[in-house]
Amino acid sequence: MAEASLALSDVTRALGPRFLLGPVDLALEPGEFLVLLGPSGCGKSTLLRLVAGLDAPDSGTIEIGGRAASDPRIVVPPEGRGIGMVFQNLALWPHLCAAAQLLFVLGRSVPRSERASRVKEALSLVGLAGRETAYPHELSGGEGQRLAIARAIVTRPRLLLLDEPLSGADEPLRERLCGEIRSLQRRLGLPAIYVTHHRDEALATADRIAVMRDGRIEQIGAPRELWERPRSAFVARFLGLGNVLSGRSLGDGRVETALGAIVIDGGEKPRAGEAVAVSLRPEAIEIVDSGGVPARIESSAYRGDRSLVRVSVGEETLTLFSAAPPGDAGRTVRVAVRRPGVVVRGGEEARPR
Amino acid sequence: MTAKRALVVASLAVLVAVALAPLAVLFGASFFPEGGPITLGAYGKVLASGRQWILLWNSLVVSASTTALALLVGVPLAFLTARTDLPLRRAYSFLYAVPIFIPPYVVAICWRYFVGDSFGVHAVVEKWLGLSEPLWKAHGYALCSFYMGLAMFPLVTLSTRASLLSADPALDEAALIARGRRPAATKVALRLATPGIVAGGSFVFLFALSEFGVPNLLMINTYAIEVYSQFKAFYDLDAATASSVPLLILACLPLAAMRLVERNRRFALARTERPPFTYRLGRARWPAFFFATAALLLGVGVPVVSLFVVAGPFANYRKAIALTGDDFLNSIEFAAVAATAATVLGFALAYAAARTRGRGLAGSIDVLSILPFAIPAGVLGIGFIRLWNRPGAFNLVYSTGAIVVLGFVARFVAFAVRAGSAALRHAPEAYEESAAVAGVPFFKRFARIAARLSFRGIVVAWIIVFVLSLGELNLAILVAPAGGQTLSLRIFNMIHFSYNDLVAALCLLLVGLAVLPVAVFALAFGRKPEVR
Repeated sequence: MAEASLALSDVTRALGPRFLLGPVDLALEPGEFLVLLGPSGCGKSTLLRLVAGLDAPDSGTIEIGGRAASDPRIVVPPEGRGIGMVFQNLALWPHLCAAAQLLFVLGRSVPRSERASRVKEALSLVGLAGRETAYPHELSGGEGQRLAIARAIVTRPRLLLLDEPLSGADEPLRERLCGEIRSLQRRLGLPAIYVTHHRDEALATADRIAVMRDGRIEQIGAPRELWERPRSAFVARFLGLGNVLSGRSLGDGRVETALGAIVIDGGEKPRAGEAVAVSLRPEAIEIVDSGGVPARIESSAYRGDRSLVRVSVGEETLTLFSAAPPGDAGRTVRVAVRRPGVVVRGGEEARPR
Repeated sequence: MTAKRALVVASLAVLVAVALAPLAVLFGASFFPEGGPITLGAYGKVLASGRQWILLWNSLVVSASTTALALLVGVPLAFLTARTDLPLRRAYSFLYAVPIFIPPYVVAICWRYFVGDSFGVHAVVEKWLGLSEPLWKAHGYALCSFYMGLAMFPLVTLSTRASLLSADPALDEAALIARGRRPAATKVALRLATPGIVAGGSFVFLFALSEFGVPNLLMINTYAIEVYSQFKAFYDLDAATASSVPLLILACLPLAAMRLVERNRRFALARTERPPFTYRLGRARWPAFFFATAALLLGVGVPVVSLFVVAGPFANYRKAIALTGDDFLNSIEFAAVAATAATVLGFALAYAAARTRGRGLAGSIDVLSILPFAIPAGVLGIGFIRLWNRPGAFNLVYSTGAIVVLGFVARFVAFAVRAGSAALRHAPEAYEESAAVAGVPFFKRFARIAARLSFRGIVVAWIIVFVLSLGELNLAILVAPAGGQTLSLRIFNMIHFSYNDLVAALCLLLVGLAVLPVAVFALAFGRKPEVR
């Protein structure tokens, strides 16, 4: 098995009396595109800064490309770690033109004869050929992002770190650039960590997603795995529109909930009588003509090919999709569960207020 | 006319009347000597004189070397106190600013006490060696630049620190990841502080060009002294005006440099809420500490200790206050009224520049407000005399302290405009727009939103103008009326009568007066006394 491009072991970092990052264990495979996903303030950027060497962990070890970057005996400075980083606000130096930004980054580590071709190559890779003399204030939003990426890859780093690089871009530009970043990363075979709080961005691009919460990795896995088998109510909800119902196990692989008995998919089956939380994706619930249980429509939002409907069943509020117009708020419909659910941790605390 | 437009027009009109009209009258009159036909005679006479060119060269050398010294000390000190882990950084971030409260000629007096040819160290060495002749002469051009550089480097530190502290830390971090500390510090952090460095250097150059007190003390001839002599000794207003033109051209150079850099978008930094990046000095920590300590010892320690030693017992302070009488109150009154007027005018102008979309208005306000400061104080003083020394209502200004107050407002309003502009950046226009939509009238929005949110900046503007006015000598020496003498003038006059203990006591009282509002500000706003 190839050596991990990045390995974090028991890494912790306290930021003030209230926030503790970690302990975090994480390994990044060669060429892997890992997305750190989580709400603001969960520690994604702090973790990235520890990897970059902009901040030092309180404990634990960080290895990059098999070499120690930070452990109790040694802390390699940022410039010695062989990383490229794209910052949230891009951090393009306003006094340097595009080519000068890249030349500054290359510094003396690259022979003079090679520098110009490296700059040209990096700018071409991101589609900025011909914009060598443009200053940051002369670049469009998308061009700024491209220049920041070119600056991060021109040194041919061992690891690429991207800290919400598209946060300033509008939706269409974000979608386009996100795809471009991913295809460039694949082409270069460069392991990368991408920080975002956009679920769609994470699901669309990641090899693996690490969902973070309160300084810890709540769950890590392939996008489909997280989507279909969230381990906690938080992950289910953060990945989008997840319904989490409280119920009691019947002991036979089913859980009794406000929607009736729901079949549980995979994993350990809870004991009979045990209180559990069950995650159901919106597509697992349908409005039906007959059967199911009565539900009151709270609201519905038109989404083009379907409507997003919020209904209440007893004390539970659920989200589901409906191909046909569901009717006005206040109307009573019947809903039924069509697919198995997943037992998750922390149902109560994740319930929306 | 809308209320907003009325405010803009009124503030511009006041600026023109107070600060620019004297200059217009001055230069207009120099072309019509004694009311005769238009002529360039006065200029021809001045420019043909070899002496004028020598004086101009002297002024240029003194101002340039003062600026060079101020930059050499001020920029590294700014970087060390703003962006590194220098030992005692917090204390030094306050201490470096102390010389701002000490007028340059007072710094020169202190150094004269310390190393002068009949004082302090010199006297001890002379006595020790048993010499009958002075070992060194404590005057000359180099010494003049040295004293002024030590007195003025805090201006460079202040404005460089402001740039360094407002930079986005991600810019340093991006450079650090790529290249390490040294290239990040020199090629990114300091390069991006260029506007602050250029502004600080320009202000020092302009102050040095105007400085009358220090060259006069050290018995060297500069253009500022020539302008004064033409007026006081010969009462030749036309010659004094013509003499000032080369000085004016010289003053335009730093002004142009400052404008160019400030307008250059390559140095425009995005606003950030994150604190600035701190560089670890590593092995350079102690040499850096030695440098900063030496700079502060020379700039703060020597002047203040010399003053305390020479001033002697407490009785001397009481004697000094009794001797100066009204001058003490005059100084406080003139400085306070000028500070208040300049702050109101400066904030209104800053508001006009920030909130009016007229093309070039912001730039015009900046240039017009700084022009009276860029013009050497002596020249401005002559302009004031030419405008206000007329019979009738004008004489009510000319013969009273009002002319001193107007002079201070004209000379220092640029600082209030700049402080106001900086403060308004923290009060986005959207706040006022939302109030406007809700039907709140303009002046209420102006007072309760724009001014209220900029209050701290307004207080800072007041303090800056108050402190500068308190120590002002170069303009006051020309325009102060009988009975309207200031403490600075009294000190300057007393130097020549060898009342050293009283002069030192008065200098300390002047410094104390200047420090007082800063202490009140620090207490009122509950802030650490760090000068950004």
